[in-house]
Amino acid sequence: MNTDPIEVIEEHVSDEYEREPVPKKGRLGANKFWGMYAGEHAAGTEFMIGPLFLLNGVSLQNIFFGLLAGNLLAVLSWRYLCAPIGVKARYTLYYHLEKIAGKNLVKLYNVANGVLFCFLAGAMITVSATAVGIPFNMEMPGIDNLYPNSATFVFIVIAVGLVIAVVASLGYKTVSKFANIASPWMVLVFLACGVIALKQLDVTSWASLNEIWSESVLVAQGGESQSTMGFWSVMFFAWFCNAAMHVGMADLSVFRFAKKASYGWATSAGMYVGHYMAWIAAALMLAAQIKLTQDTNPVPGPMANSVVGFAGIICVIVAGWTTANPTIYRAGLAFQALMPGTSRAKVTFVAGMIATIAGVFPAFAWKLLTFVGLYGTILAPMGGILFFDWYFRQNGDAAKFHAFKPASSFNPVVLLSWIVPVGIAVYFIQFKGISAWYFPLPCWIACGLLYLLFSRRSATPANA
Amino acid sequence: MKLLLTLIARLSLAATVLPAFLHLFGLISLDAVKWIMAISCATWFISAPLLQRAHEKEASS
Repeated sequence: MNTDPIEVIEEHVSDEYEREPVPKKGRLGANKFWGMYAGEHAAGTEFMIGPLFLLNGVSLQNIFFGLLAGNLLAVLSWRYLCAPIGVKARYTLYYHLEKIAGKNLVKLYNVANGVLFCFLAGAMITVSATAVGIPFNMEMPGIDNLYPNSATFVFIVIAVGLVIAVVASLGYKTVSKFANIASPWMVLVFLACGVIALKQLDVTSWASLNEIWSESVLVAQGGESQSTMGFWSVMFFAWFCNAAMHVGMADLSVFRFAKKASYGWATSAGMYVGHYMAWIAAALMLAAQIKLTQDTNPVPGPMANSVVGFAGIICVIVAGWTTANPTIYRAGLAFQALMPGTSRAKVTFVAGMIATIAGVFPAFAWKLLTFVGLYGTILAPMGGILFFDWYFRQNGDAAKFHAFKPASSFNPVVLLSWIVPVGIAVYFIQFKGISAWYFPLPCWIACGLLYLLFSRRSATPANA
Repeated sequence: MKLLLTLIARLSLAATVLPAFLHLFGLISLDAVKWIMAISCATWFISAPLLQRAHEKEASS
């Protein structure tokens, strides 16, 4: 059992206080939260997201102001939606949900969680592989390659995936410690990358940066500058790329250790370091690459190598590895909940292999913006149910909630409230081509309202 | 020993980011930046785990 509370919050997963409110002695000071969030959001995927903005033709103003607003809304969601419930109920998301939805429905939610985690980890493995492949002169996958483009690429992805899967299945502590060591260094490498990219772009003013940026967009889009993402798209994407964590309430598992709800402000460290500075730095790296070589492929390894050399290659590998590892570990835990008798190591290894197979397909990395939006659309609405239940059915009363026992092991009201809005949203995303990042908010509200409505209806005959 | 490790770790972090700014202002070449960052990467990943171990030892004693 993990007995170090600092590691408990950094890992997000632990068997400590898993089925009981965190007592006073287990609560932590604010600095732990600031450190954890700053490190957690400087990940391998940041190398992909910034460049994808450029490829989607987003204007520089929309990136700067859209991210500023979206990240602020994300911080406010953590501070005012997630943290207050976390410090009152002091349960993990899973146990909290179990009380509302029942044990078996939480298992279903876990499967959705586990599968999405595997695909996310797959994108991170792809990112790491692009850096590992540099010394082997690997032909890098292009933005048009949805399938693997060479045997070397497949071999390197499998090798990287195997190492990650084995390490994740052996345990979490070592990787967690390594990730903590690496995170301050990685943040500074991101900053250095951005600064050097600015120099390579030969920028002297905002106007010249804007001009070079527009030229890069033009080259990236084959001579036709067409923006597929405006201010609102950037803002909603920044707000909801971590929707599962804030409005989706996954970070209840973190804030249950906080002394005060105001620790929710600590998430601003992650948002403005990882999702602002790092995304912009990565976008500038691609702009510099386009200016110098006319190469529009947003492949993280070569991009970082051309800007800061060896340190960049190591940063891409470490950023991909340290984030793929906990993601696979969490996927393993989610799957293990379905088969409690199975060894965690075996299940985690299988989750790692699923992620590796996903990593072989560069499409998951190239379509990361859509995938992250879809991830939020599917998982976050469960947080809406939890939020509405907490304020409208439990009246925010922690003692009442702690004493509350679920009526059944599978609450069909919760299932219906979850799948109806999410099903409609997935239809619009898949068949109508509407961007996925617009859906977490309406789904979250609809799920919560439907839950209240259906609960009232199902309770009426019993009350009558 | 702990003081020395702290110093090396902090210098490594400084040497990770400062060369980029020196290059921005035209004071050093990109090659020099890459070399300094590679060396500081190595010194950080050697000194930081040792420092962490020293902190853990101190906390447990």
